[in-house]
Amino acid sequence: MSQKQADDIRQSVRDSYAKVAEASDNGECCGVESSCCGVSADINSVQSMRLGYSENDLDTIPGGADMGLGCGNPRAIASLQADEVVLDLGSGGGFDAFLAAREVGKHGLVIGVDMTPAMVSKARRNAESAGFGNVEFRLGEIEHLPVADSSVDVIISNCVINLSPDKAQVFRDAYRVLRPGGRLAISDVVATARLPDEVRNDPHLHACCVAGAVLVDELQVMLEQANFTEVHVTPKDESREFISDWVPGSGVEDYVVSAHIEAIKPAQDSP
Amino acid sequence: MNQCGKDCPAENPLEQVRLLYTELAQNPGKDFGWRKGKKNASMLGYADEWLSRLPDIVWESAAAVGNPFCLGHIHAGETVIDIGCGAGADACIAAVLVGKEGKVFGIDCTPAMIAKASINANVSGLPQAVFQEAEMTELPLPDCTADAVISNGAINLARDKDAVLAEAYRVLRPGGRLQIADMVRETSPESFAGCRSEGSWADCVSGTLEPNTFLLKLSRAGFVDVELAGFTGYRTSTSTIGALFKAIKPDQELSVKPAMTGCASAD
Repeated sequence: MSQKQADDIRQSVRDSYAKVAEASDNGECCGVESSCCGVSADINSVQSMRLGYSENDLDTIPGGADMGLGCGNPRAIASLQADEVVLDLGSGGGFDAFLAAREVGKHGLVIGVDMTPAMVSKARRNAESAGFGNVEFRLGEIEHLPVADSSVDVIISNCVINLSPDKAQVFRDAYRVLRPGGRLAISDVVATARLPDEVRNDPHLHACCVAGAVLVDELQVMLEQANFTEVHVTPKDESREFISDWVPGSGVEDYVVSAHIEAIKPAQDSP
Repeated sequence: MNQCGKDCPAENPLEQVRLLYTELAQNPGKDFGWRKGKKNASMLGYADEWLSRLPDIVWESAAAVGNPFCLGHIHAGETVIDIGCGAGADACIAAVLVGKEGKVFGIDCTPAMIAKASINANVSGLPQAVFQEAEMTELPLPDCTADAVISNGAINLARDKDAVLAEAYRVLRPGGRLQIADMVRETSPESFAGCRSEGSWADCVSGTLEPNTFLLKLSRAGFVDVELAGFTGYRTSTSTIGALFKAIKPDQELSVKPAMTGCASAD
């Protein structure tokens, strides 16, 4: 992929999510024409409960942070401990970051990274209004993380890496910022069959978390090439039900499914 | 200290900064009240060979406040980071200097500037310059990446200058150089307190430091050989002027610096 094509994809994704952030600021919850990826006809919190969040999760998080844009619950596989440093790739309005912040406690830290300025601003406002002192949001691309080397215990991410035009680079930079022994606990869509070209090349379906999904085997190889060990990609077949709502009538649920993606940066850093 | 009222955007400068610099990227012909473009660069001492080497489009959105290249040589094969690179004029010059074997990373928080800078490097035939969106307080680069960090009229725009300088320190290799042109205020903080009608945070006025404060912050960030090399004559208000600063990240980590700012030794 050329630099230009990659930039075009990033811009299209950024535009879509800026519209989601603005629509949500204006009190419109869903039905934003230019985006989907979970923004279905459902009320956001209903959507989030289908993804495995508890009612308690939803009640304790600042209004506006849950935009129903995920495809799973990465915290369910992250086993976050008190005092850990957590990095959320593509933090959006901050929903997962705030939930993680509760788990790591006041001596822990959660860093959310997002490339859409409107989302970063929104998440910062949400953090301020809810009084979260252990969460910060940083502007940046997930391929080039605004985070120091070996400074993070756990990386979480919810339905974002599929949007990246250079997923191998996402995993290389994730490896850089994880401390030795640190772990990835990601929820994302994966392809279970090779996507038809007309799907793969549709920018709308890309921003909808469909066209950018890669095959489970491809993902496995990318993670191993980035030097991760104990790589596990676990597709969740039951997710086809809500994925079918993303682009109704398109049949995308035949090709993509939500998955848990787990991996470890070995304690002994290989060169 | 909230006597500023509506006209003072210091409470949230970032969004004002992004708005203003999106406008500068997209509408460079507009009069912003401060000098910009190729003629301004020439007045600040940019070499004629650079001015002619790079196409005019590279210069149109460039608002240099000084010439960071006069603070030290950039050598072929080096890696350079430009903090707050805007439309990429300085990054393109650095890319010419480091050549094809070198690398330049331009960082800016305004997507419209990143897009323009990428186009500018492309039309200039400088693929060794790449551009990434981030704020200056958190740079999207590994520790100990750069031989030189440059910046031109940008650090004053950050609310947390200490965080910017700590990041510059982190991404420099031991022995690496910091070469900065930035706006400073000439008057004392007392006479400057409150909001100045003559310029905003985004216009490089409200967020400026006094030169001595800038030098102190450089030292506190761990830099050595910290120096105010001079003033450039560039103005964004009657009380703010362009200044040149240089500093070095020490070869040996100072013992007072916490270990976490160090770089892993190459195995």
